[in-house]
Amino acid sequence: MRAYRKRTWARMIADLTPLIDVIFLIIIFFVVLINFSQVHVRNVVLPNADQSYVSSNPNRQLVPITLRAKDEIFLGKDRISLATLSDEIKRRYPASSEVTALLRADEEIPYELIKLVMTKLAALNIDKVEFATWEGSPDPLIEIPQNET
Amino acid sequence: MKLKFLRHASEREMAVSMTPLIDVVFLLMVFFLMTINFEKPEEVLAHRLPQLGNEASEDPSKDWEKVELKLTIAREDGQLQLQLQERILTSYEDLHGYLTELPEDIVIIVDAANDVPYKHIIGVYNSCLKANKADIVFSFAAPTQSAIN
Repeated sequence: MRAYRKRTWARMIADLTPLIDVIFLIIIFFVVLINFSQVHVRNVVLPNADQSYVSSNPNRQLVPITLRAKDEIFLGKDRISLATLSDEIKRRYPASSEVTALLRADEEIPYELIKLVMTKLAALNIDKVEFATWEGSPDPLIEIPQNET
Repeated sequence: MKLKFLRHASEREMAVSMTPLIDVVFLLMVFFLMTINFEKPEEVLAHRLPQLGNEASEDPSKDWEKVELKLTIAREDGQLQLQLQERILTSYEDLHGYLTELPEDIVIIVDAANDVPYKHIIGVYNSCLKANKADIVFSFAAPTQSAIN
């Protein structure tokens, strides 16, 4: 009787090894996935271009500007308004002539907004601009209606 | 009798339990399936902006041939129309074909209507690069007050 009772007690001790294994695995997974990219805002449908390329200089100082809509403008990961864009760039990048503006704009954004941002960049002496795109053929000029077969 | 019991016990201890391993593998599999994100790699199209106020300092002796490229929205059917000098083009293939006939040192001015989607600006820019035309200038006509606000 005594020996039987001892064995049940031994079975009740929780084995923590698999739990620690899982926790360590998840920690390693997150550490590996940490993104040190200067581009923080995602979820933008970029236009397609087949002449685009991956920049050969990953160490260039980027001014990442994301345009998702007229009232959804991000400088880095911070949402800002169009009116404060110039001041924010001036404040964050004092040596503006050495930086490259990375324009990550939604493909459906009207050109007027792009033009406005480019005018502001030119006024800040930022002449190097990169248009972020996805690799692929550009959408045709004449859109084919959805119901057409 | 006693010896037999001991041998049984040691045999049981030697067995490898697969349950925690399967638990961990399933857990990780579910985690990966839920967090998977097929993000397209981003590429860039580089561009040099003209500096504002430098238009006057442009050397007039440079006899650059200028071709004006106009993007307009046709109001009747909502379709885009690409106008290159006097020619109306309906596709990027036509544009590329026309541009390849032009000399390489030509300056192309892209003047698009305010409501043209950004993807078509990139489409035109992409076609110019494809046709080895590197001197591309975006015309900076004044944006409307609604865009600024």
